[in-house]
Amino acid sequence: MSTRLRNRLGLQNGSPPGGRRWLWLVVGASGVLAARAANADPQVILPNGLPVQVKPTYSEPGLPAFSFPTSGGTLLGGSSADTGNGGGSGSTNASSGGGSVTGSGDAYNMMMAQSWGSAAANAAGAMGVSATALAATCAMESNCQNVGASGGGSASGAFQMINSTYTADINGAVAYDPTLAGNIVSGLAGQMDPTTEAYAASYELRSDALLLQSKNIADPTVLDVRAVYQFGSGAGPAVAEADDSANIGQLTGLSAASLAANGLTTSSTVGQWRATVTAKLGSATAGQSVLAQ
Amino acid sequence: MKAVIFISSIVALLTLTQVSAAPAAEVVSGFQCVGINIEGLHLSQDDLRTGAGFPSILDAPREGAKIVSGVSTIIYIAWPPVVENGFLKAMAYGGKIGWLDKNSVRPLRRADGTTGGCTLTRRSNGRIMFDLDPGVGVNQ
Repeated sequence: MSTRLRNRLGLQNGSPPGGRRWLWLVVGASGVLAARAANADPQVILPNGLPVQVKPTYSEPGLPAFSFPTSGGTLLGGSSADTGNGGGSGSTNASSGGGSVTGSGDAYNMMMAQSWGSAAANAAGAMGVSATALAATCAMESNCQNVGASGGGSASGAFQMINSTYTADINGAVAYDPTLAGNIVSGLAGQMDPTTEAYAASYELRSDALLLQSKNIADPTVLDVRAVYQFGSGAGPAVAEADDSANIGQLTGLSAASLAANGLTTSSTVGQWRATVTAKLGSATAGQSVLAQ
Repeated sequence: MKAVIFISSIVALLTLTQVSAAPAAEVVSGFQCVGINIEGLHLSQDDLRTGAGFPSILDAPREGAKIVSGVSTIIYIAWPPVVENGFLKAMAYGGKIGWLDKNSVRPLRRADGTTGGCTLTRRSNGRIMFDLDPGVGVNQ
């Protein structure tokens, strides 16, 4: 009998002062323990640590969107490598990286209400951008609906990426995190898989934010990066740097048709565009950092 | 001669540029806004979006010098203009100074053909932002 068990049973070395009553207690306890030892393994086995946190892939009809906490808890032992992904589309199951997958605001709630929302949030985390920023993108582009191309353009999916941008970004995402390669929908079909497109869109947001960082915007916000996402890496930085009074058409050189495709006219100003984006997203989301902190 | 005419036109037409700044911002002097030369660089609408064909600011006024930064459609150049070996002294959005092929920019113009520039300000968060003169743009 170990010293630890002895102490738990209240035993002491030498003769107990309680006399015979103590002796009978010791004998009885020893008998019980001996019987248990014969039938059970005294070791508590935790196979590879505690069970991972369960995250429902599909939300239950009628229930509001719920943001699963990803911090504050502690895994005791085992590996946390597979705890990050909520799945979503049924076709992707890539693990998340080190970025935060939590967010806030109406846009975030809108994305998380989709069956693929949790997986998209993980995609943002894997690419090092905030889930709120990714959610803002789908909210602006499609109200987070997985819609096909229309109007003769190739922009499609929840993040409305055109073919060329999507192809470049999904390749960039795989290069950034090679583990994605076998876990995403390949080819342009990935545009219509929201989780796969979320990786491409997240990579685009990351690239846009880094581009702005190289231009003296130390901590690009959702609104800053939105300028690059919407107007491209050519004209976008100028929109991000412009005063509210600047005319977007005059600033970007885009034609009336190109502006119309973005819901703008030749008289639209940067201030009006900013106000529209902020009204849609809310000022807290519009002002949030894109790169995960 | 071509460069002299080019520079002269910018200098003459930007003279009337008014300097006005938001109260909370510090005016950045010594630089002015010009536009990317869409026509001269044969930039398409798609190029304007993607940035393909955009020139770079270099660390020395010569071909093949190290790239300091890319540019967007609005470009900051030293004011009055400084030209060396066919390159204009320029400032990247990040504040780094370098050199840009003078043929890659052109004055910002209004619809009536007159030119203008901008007021550059440094915000309290360190960001340099531009406020274009009314009516000017890169596509006039």
